[in-house]
Amino acid sequence: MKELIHYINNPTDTFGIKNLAEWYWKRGDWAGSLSFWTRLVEYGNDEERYDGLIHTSLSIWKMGNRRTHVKDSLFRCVTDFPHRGEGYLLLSKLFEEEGSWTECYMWAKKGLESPNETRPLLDVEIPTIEHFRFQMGVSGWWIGKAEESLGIHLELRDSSLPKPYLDAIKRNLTLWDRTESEEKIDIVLQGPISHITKYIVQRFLSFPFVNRVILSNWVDDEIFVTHSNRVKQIRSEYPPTPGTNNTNYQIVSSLNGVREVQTHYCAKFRTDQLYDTESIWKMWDFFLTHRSCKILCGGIYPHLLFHPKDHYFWGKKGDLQNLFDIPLEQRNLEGLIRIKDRFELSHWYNEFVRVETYIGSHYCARILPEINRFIINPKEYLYDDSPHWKEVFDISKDITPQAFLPFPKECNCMKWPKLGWDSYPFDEQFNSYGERWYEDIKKK
Amino acid sequence: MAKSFTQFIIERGGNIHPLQFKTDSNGGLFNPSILNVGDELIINIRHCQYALLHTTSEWESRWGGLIYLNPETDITLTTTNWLGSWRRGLEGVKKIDTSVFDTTPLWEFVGLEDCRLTYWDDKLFLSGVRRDTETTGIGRMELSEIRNGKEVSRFRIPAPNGDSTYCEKNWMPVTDLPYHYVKWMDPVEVVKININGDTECVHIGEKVFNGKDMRGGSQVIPFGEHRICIVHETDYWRDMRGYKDAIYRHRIVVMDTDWNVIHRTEPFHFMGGRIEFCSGITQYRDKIWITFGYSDNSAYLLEVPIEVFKTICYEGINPLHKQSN
Repeated sequence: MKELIHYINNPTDTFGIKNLAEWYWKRGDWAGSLSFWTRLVEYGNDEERYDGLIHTSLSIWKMGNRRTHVKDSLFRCVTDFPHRGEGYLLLSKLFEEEGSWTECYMWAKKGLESPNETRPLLDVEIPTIEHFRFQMGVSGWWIGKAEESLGIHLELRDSSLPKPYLDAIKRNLTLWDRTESEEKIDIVLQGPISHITKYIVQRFLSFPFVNRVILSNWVDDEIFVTHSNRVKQIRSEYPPTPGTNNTNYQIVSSLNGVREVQTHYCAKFRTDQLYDTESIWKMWDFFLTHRSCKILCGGIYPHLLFHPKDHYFWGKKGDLQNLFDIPLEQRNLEGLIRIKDRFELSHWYNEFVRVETYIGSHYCARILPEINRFIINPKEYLYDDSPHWKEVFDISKDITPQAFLPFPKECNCMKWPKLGWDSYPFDEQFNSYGERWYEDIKKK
Repeated sequence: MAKSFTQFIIERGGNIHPLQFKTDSNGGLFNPSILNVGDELIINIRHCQYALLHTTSEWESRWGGLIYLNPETDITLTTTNWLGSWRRGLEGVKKIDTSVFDTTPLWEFVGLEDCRLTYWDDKLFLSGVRRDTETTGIGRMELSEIRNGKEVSRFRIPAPNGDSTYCEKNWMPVTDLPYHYVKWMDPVEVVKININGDTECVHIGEKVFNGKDMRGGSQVIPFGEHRICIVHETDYWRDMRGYKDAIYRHRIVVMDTDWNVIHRTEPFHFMGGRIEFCSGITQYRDKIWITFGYSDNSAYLLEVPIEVFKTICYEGINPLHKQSN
């Protein structure tokens, strides 16, 4: 093998070192190539050192799951060779890959402002102004520079960027076009302000289909500080009693928030659950094709009575207003006995109406007024071991699907720090709690 | 003067081949071993899920100049072994199936490391060090029989004299003397293992060189009336920030049948690297075949014409200090 023989005969000759590095590189042997790119850094002139450093970084990057070392290596590139553009572009892409949008934007901007001397390097894109602008356009969207982002996309759509970039621009602009042409919706975030509420607000504001975010908190919550004129905060007085498991708090804060909605459709979320961006996009897509007279909910529990998941609801403003414009729960179990936490509460389902059943049954009574009879006498009909539970269940099976339609499972990816959830426990919810999603209902 | 042992060999009619193939994950292929079994060259190559970044001080990272680039979600240094054969090139390489004997690792160095191939009593064995069986990283040589690419037996070899040492590694199997290893080279210490029993020390020579430790190394193979092997010696130091760094050098050692060292070469490097490691040598037709790893990232096979090898062993030709002929 001539590359290896040449290297052995001249182990400090940079031409031979580079050829051997490339031999391994072309075979996708990133560890093998790493040794010789590193050697090129040690023995090369400035041009070769830069080549070696860039490819050392890329060899580590291509091995995967070694980002700290990739960053360190690329930082060395831009520190020692600030006049070259590849390091900045790769750093911007690296941060893009991990969704660190501020850093992605920053390194693209630094690259744009650098002298950007370019000479071809093996399998490395030659960075142009358009490359850096593209990176700024993609990342700017996520860091409060939406207008600049749109402008960059429009500016670059007929540029000479390679096809994958132009395809991405086209895709993003299609999303914009679609959302611009659709009516927008208000988002209600109900509940006390939590340590992640500001991130939830920011996330919703970044969606082009969101008109305003309405924060429906409590009178003793802090005033939410924001520069955006698209956030409205209302701070309600507490109801006389919280209701079992805060049923009344949810009713009051949701209703007061929905009343502030200015759009025909809206959605209600909690102030302490952070949904993944992808999930929100999927909710939006599903909502566009399934909005009807039904209220869309995160999931449904078909084995329980009138029981949608109450984490979030989408629908017409009027429907959501009807959902929460209901009498407050008069009986408050936590006012009668000491309940340690929500898990202990679950031991008392024979003594009170589940929150979701309380809200769901009132809404379903609008479809079938007979349900009011059950609401008046919940111990006989709505508690888990009610004597007439089976009779009610047969009605619930028929009426609940007329009122509520669950979103697909994929719309429920989220974090809920309050419960220590870093992701939604789909399996547990399905197997232990009987939650079902659109695809499960559709199968039936 | 040759720039490296490999160049010295190539200038005299030898040849070198990279041992390179696709594995199931990224990381280095290194420290191969080779053995002539029934006129077939068998090769084992170590794979680890890290890559080694080794640079001079000017280019070192914040963690020093010698760093293991392991995946950020896996801090272990996990070794797997890949077995194939050499004809015109590397053929039929497959990962050795060790599933029958594997247990949950208790330490960060996982798997059988730096294996040497040997063939004793009509069985093919891999012999290397394993350090994952206890939380303290205690290392013991193990002997694993390999049949049809699968580990069919595993024996953890106790250290001689009470099995009380912390780490035993780099023992060199004596290919023509079943279950014997050269454990140490200065003084020469030969041990015999008893499967499922104790390990006996059968020879300890006199310390004659009083230099750096000379340790395995390749297998010990018969060579004419003698036995030969390739050993390594290491310079370890800490850089000015306290980070570890090292240089490995090798020597060829010739012993008589009574384990007396009758010649050793000056130290050499194979390819100009600082971390190189030889764990295989065998005789096949008219050549000596040597395998070594480079910087824990790549593996090589060196063909040495037997006459050239003899000049190094018996005429004292020193690859890196004498003018080529």
